[in-house]
Amino acid sequence: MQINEPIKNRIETSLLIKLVAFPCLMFGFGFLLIPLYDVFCDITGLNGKFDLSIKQQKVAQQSALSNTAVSASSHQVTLQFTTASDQPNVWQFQPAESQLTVTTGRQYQTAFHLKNPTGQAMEFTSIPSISPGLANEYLIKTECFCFQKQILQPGEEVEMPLIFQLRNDIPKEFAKLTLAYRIYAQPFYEPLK
Amino acid sequence: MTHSAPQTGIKRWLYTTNHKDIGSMYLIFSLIMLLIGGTMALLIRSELFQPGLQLMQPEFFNQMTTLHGIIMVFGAIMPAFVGMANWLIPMMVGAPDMALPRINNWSFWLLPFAFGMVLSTLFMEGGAPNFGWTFYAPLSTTYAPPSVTFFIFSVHIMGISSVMGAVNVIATIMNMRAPGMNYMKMPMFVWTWLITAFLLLAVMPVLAGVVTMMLMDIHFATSFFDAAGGGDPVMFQHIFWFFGHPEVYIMILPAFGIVSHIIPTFARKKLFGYHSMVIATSSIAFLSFIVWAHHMFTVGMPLVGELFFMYSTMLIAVPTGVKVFNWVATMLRGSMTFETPMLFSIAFVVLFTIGGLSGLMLAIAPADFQYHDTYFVVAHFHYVLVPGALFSIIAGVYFWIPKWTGVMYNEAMGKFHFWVSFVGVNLTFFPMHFIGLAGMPRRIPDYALQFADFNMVATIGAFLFGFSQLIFVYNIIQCMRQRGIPASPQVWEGAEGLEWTVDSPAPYHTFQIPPTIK
Repeated sequence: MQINEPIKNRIETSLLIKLVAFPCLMFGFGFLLIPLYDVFCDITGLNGKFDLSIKQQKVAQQSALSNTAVSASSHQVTLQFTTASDQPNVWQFQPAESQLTVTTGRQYQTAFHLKNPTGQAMEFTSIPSISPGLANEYLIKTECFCFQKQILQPGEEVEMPLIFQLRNDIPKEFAKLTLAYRIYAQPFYEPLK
Repeated sequence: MTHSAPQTGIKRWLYTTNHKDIGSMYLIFSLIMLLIGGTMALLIRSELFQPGLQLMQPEFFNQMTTLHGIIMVFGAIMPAFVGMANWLIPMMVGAPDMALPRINNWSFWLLPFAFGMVLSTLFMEGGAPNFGWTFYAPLSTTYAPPSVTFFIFSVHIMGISSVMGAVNVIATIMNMRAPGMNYMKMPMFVWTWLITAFLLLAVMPVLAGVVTMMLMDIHFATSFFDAAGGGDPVMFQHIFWFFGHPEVYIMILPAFGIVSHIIPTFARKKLFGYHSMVIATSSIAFLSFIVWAHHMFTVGMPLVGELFFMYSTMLIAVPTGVKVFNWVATMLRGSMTFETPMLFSIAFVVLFTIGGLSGLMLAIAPADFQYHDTYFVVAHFHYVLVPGALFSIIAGVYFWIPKWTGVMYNEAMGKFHFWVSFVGVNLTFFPMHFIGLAGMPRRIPDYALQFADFNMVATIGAFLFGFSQLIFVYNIIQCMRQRGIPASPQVWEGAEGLEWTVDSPAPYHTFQIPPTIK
């Protein structure tokens, strides 16, 4: 290296390009993390990703038919329904029945009422949750409005059906279960034509 | 090549591309931010002096905790390290200046605007950001005050400034070393900063990304963190801590570098285990990318996740332990003297280790459910950041200020500053371990009566610590005014390194002809 070489010439342009490109890529990586997490959770079944849980339930349904018909091992379980929403003072969201005593292995139907009292079209998503959480695998939902987006016009009301049964092999200590639905709402905008 | 003398008046500071001028501006800026953030800390501690609401409303209290955190992390600790990097890296590697002097000027001048914007939110309708320095969604999106938009833009500006600073540091270290200065001859401060700069390049853009997502959620009807539109608030925490955990090493690795210069100087021995120090620093940097979820053990992760993040976090104790043992081994059988920089460095080693051990306690996932969001966490991260990062900065300033200004600081005042700070810092943060374990949550303006005594002690300690920094300010101002004994080029008997071969104060231009390294 020449002693009196100007400083400028000592800096490699290729290094600078890499040093600028790297943070730009990392900015993109921050956004990429979201689909990456989705893929990761789908593969591993973490975070209760619903696609996978439906699949698992179907498998369970087929493999354990004896669990899904009334039989000697049937017993009674109390099932409570609760609702919640991100703006409880606005959305009218109630279960048709607040409590049911169900026989395991038998199919039941209940419903939830939802009304949009606002003057604006809203898009709703409802997220189910069962407690105690370990009872999740014993609850088979044949028809559910979980995770489905629906659009309610101003003042519109809907009744959302839930058809379910509890498996016979649910342990006796789960004598009382709570099925909670929480709705999340956001304004709905017509897609641009 | 000719170099002109500095311009006069304000133009010198606005237009300067000199690494020493820019370094000084960074350091003074961070000192001002330290005092502003410190004042906010004292307001917080005053409110917590006794139970009940005395001085402020909870809303304002929350704004204070948020701004205190943001200002201390991004305004005080990080710019102080960048300031030191500016002053020292070119001199330590034998370069005439930073690689990109104009970008250097720009990175600095972005900061006053970013923090001016952050501070201006205090006067806006709805108040300043009040969601804590970690700005978790949806507190920072759905429920945020309108000023959050200004907060987001100022984080963008800070991020740009940090990334440009990091690019500059890497280019300087990789391209501007004097002939013969190979990588394994570089001083530890240069090594730690090189690794820190790579961490900055990797994670500051992710922070910029996450605040951009917030901006879009707030203003452009996206749903990154909103369950109503298919998003997930927990996603925010994952992305934030992907930035946040490397960030805590960004704030401590340069501190390791500073201490690795001061301890050998005053122990009059070579640094023990230079190679292992370099390897330990790199391993810490690597591990910092795979431990982020230990900040969120309580969000409902699967067991496998908890175990993975627990064990990988505990693994960090190994390279950190290597460093602590190396510093102790450097001091062992050295002929030590205890000047102010050494006192602060020894306190750093001891108190940072306490902070590290409480970190290990927090890493134990099942126990973390008890500690999470309590004052135990507050005690932990203040132990690693105040007697950790901040003490190392203070030690570094005392160590190099004779080189920067050409005069010795007042040693008696320096020692007095140390002892008052040392007592104050422990009085403030040690009781927080106990109240945390007893269950006092963090970020609350009022608390249950059983926590009253320890909180009172902590507040007294905080005022002691806070006001003792005025001695530091006095010492710095006296040096800047050239009041003191002129310093020799080597300054300290045991000092080694290129920066000690130039005059004190360091001439405006150094190493225009590269020195030859043996």
